[in-house]
Amino acid sequence: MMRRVGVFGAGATALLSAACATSAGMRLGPADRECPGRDAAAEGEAITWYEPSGPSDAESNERWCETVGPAVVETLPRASFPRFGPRDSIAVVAWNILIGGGDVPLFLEEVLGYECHTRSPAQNAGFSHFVLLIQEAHRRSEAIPDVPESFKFPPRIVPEPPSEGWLDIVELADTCGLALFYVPSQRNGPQTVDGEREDKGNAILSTLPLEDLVAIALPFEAGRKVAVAATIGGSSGTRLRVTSVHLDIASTLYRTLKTANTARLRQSAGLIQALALIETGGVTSGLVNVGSGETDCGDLPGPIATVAAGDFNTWSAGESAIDQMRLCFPDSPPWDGEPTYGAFPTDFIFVRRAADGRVAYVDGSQRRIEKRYGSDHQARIAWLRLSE
Amino acid sequence: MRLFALCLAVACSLSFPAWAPGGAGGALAQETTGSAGAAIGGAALGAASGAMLGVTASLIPCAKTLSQLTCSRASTLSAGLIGLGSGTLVGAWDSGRLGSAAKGAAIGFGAGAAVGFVLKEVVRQYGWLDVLSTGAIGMAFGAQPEGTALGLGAGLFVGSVLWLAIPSYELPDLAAAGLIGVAAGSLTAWVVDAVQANSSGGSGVTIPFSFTI
Repeated sequence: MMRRVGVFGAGATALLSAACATSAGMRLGPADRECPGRDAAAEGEAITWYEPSGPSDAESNERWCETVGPAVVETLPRASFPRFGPRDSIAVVAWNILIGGGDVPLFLEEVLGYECHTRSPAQNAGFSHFVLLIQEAHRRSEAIPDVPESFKFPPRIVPEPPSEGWLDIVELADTCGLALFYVPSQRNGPQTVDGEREDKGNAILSTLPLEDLVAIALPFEAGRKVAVAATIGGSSGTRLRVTSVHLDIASTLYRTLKTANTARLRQSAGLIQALALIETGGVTSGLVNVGSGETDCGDLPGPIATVAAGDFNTWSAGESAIDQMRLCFPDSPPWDGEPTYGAFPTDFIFVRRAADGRVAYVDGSQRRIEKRYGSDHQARIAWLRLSE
Repeated sequence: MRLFALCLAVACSLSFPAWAPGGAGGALAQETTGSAGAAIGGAALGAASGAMLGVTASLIPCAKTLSQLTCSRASTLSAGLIGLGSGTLVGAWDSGRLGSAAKGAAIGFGAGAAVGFVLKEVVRQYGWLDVLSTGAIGMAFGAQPEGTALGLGAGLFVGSVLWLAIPSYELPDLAAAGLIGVAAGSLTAWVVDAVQANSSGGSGVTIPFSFTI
């Protein structure tokens, strides 16, 4: 009996000693990686990568990266849109579209007054420029590598398709004439269907051209997550960086116990550090001791206004990852108490102004979209003014 | 749904004597002598159980502070120390009582590991370390089954009342209340066991440490 008790004691000692500090540090990614997920489909479109500086995070991210296809970039919208006026506002939407289950064309028509047609998208009266920060976008392609099924792929998600067909993100951008920046994070199942495979990740769809494309591989928890960022320009050189983010829902139980459930706090810390590196042109950030109360937002306000929005997979609006984002994005719309995934408040829009103050959140403009449009998440929308 | 949770909490509290093994009556029937080996074993089991209870109870509430890791460590350490002290005394005074706790811990470990194994087969990213983790949590819960059941019932009851009364009280807060209840109930049972082991007239052992103040 004493031997059995001793085994428990040894296990506990091991667990306690394993409860070491958890940290997040980011760095500019090297340009010479072979991973297909790092290439842009369109030649000449450079993507700047940021990644965790820890070797374990980098190794896991690299291994997962080898299972996905190349990024997709269409910096210019195919449709003709009116010039962005000096008094115009832009709608920023954060929406997890459940692998194309969310009916984006219907959403655009009903919420933003924009009808998608391949040749001549129609802008209804009161049209406003918009940018969609999409999570769980998917893409079908032969370019996605065939990987042995021994790799622990995420299971394939097949949603109930919208009435007008199950479009992937590339087809969606094409149909709606929008600029696109898509970076896959992971595979959508191991299957090959009609010679094509599927991957999924974050995307930006925009009526304005996309510049300064950045992919941020977040600290690795349960699966690879890559946030995507790009800048859009208003009138008179006003610029806004928009970032589409998707954090992990949970780590493994062992890791949850070992790191005291800091998975999302660590991923949001990595995102914040990468955004700070982009603004300063830095190569490597310092290490933040996650969960110690330490937060490094970089220099605020920065040179360019930034929006970071998406599915943070939080179960409470008071979760530490959200508190940390609010600290570093002090101009964010206030929390409205409305959950977006069942009873859970998972989706947020965070805003911070630039030093010149020319981009600002339009007070009271944030709201939850009541219809799900076929997704399992409700979208959030907010308006930003890009003034001269 | 909120009323259902409240009913579940009450039912859980009331039903534990029907199934919980051991308990004070059971422990009294055991041998009431201790030994240095049993004290060390008790220390190990108490520390392991307490630490697991502490970390499990901290996961949800500590996630609401930026000092999340510090908060969780404090909870783990405090609960581990309570378990360590209580377990040492239980082993030192009453190895039979410790045997009951160890038996419950072993059953709990097996049950937890079995759940973990099923999860490993279902959840893509789960591995053997996660099976060990669910086993460790089962061990902590199983070492003091009466305290665990009572604590769970009390925690869920309080959580349900708060959930009914306060609109901003969220579903995860209710789960946290249950886990905190489990930790509080189980740790209380460890302390009660230590007190009862001492008062049950065990022969005791001399702990080979001296203190100078």
